[in-house]
Amino acid sequence: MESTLLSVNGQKYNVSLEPSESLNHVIRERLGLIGTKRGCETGGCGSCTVIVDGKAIYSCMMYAMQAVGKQIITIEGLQGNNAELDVIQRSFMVAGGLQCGYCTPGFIMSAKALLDSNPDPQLGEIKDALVGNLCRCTGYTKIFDSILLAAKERQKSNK
Amino acid sequence: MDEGQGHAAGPTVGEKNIVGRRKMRTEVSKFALIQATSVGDAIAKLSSYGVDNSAVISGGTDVISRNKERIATMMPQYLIDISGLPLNYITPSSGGFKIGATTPVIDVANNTSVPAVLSQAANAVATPQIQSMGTVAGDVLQEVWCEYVRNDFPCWRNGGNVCYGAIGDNRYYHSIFGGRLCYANHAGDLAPALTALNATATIQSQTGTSTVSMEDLIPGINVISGRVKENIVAWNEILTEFQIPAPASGSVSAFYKVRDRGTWDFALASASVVLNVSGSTISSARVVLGGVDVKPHIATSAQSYLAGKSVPLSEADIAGAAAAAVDGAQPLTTGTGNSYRVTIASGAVSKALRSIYTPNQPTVYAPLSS
Ligand SMILES: Cc1cc2nc3c(=O)[nH]c(=O)nc-3n(C[C@H](O)[C@H](O)[C@H](O)COP(=O)(O)OP(=O)(O)OC[C@H]3O[C@@H](n4cnc5c(N)ncnc54)[C@H](O)[C@@H]3O)c2cc1C
Ligand code: SF4
Repeated sequence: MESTLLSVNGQKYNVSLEPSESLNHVIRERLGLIGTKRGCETGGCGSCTVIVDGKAIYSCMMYAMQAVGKQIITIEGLQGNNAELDVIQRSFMVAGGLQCGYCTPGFIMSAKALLDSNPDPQLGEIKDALVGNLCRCTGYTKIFDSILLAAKERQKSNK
Repeated sequence: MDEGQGHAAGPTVGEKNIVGRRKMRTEVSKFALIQATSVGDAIAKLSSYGVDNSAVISGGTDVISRNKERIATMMPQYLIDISGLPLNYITPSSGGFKIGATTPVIDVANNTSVPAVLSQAANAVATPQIQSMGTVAGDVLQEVWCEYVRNDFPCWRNGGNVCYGAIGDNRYYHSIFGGRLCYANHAGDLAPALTALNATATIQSQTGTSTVSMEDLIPGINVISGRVKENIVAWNEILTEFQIPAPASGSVSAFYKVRDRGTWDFALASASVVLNVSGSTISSARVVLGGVDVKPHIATSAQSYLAGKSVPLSEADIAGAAAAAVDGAQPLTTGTGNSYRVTIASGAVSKALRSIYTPNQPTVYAPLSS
């Protein structure tokens, strides 16, 4: 095992990686960042979504060693300095964009990747950006509402 | 049994030639992941470790899926990682484009300059997350998704000498145009689009580089370095680049994919069409079906049917081309059978053709989308 530096949420972690360890495994089991969920393990549900170098990806489908040298952001990376929730998280609460909550971190990370590159998305663009995340409770409508709300709130705070 | 049953040993392939490296399913997948420093370095490492022990990993989405399923003959000890090599680019070139092997699929999907058929096909690959991880060469060279090999059944692809797909559940992942040995579809969405565009691919090997047409890159089932596969890229070769020639002036193109859900799923069938139009007459056409044959299926009858027709195409001409596109179909009749996908392939062609002259058409069949 080699010791390597992994950059997660702006922090450098010194970890010994087995080549067979997925990024999801390392984030959850080594770094203890369990906000990122472990779902289907086959790239088929989206609950493990994190952002790597600005793009939403499935952390279950990437070997952690392939993420060395890249900027990884997990749901924990969204909170502010005083542990206050991010505007996207608050919008999900306000607009009721979750029920059981298991898929929520994944949805929020996909939403963040979208809003970071497209601050004012149309409903259709939101749907297109979220087709890689499954939710079995909400029926999606309130998730779309949450993201529309988050986009508005982010624009307000940028003014 | 005849070939249609999938048991035929095939005219030239004997069991002994197939790499047989079956391991216990319970064996833990231990391997080394090694960053290549150059294409030459990758080739040297692969060559020295050998076909039994090494393989290329790029975006990794297909390699990881297979490692997780512990497919006996597909768990090499050394994975040579080429994702850090400078092969990530989409560059205009003599009116066409060069696309580097490790370019993420999503960059092609978001590119507004490449021909429509290609960006639409990239857009139809799985989900944004898979598109961000998966690379263009990886999509073209991905293993088949036949549920038997993916679940480590000891079939032709996996060191055995039987095809379960041809006699079992072949509803989703198997050819409707016949085959030999292995009947699994080539599943990627990009290869048919690249084929329709007459793209070429550059392969680097120990002895030099060669540039081949898409037809020669994926000729169909063969035995390459002891492996039953549909493309010609050996384990110690690297596909470095695709070249897309300049389109003929007046050329238009479109892609259409039918899948069970509006997202994620592989094509039940896809159609990639390119029409070269002079004045209001089609001078030549390319019609390539995806997900229905062991290689991108060039629908030659539909191509000749379309030549000489005038545009915008009439509904009768669209129907004629769609019918011609599935000429020679040989759906499997053993096991579950898959003849329903002949109709779907035909429908995909009519949808693609119709979309060219009707703006803002969806490029995938999405049953529930509004
Ligand atoms: C859940 C899921 C859904 C999917 N849905 C679709 C879909 O709808 N449409 C679709 O087209 N695809 C789909 N795919 C497949 C996906 O697009 C491919 O797995 C991906 O594009 C492969 O690219 P990669 O870089 O990750 O390949 P890798 O996994 O790194 O490699 C794939 C194969 O190609 C070889 N290889 C890769 N690059 C090179 C190279 N430059 N030279 C030589 N050999 C190379 C590798 O050795 C390996 O055998 C899906 C995959 C998953 C997991
Ligand atoms: S179709 Fe190919 S991959 Fe599937 S069981 Fe037959 S030989 Fe194996």
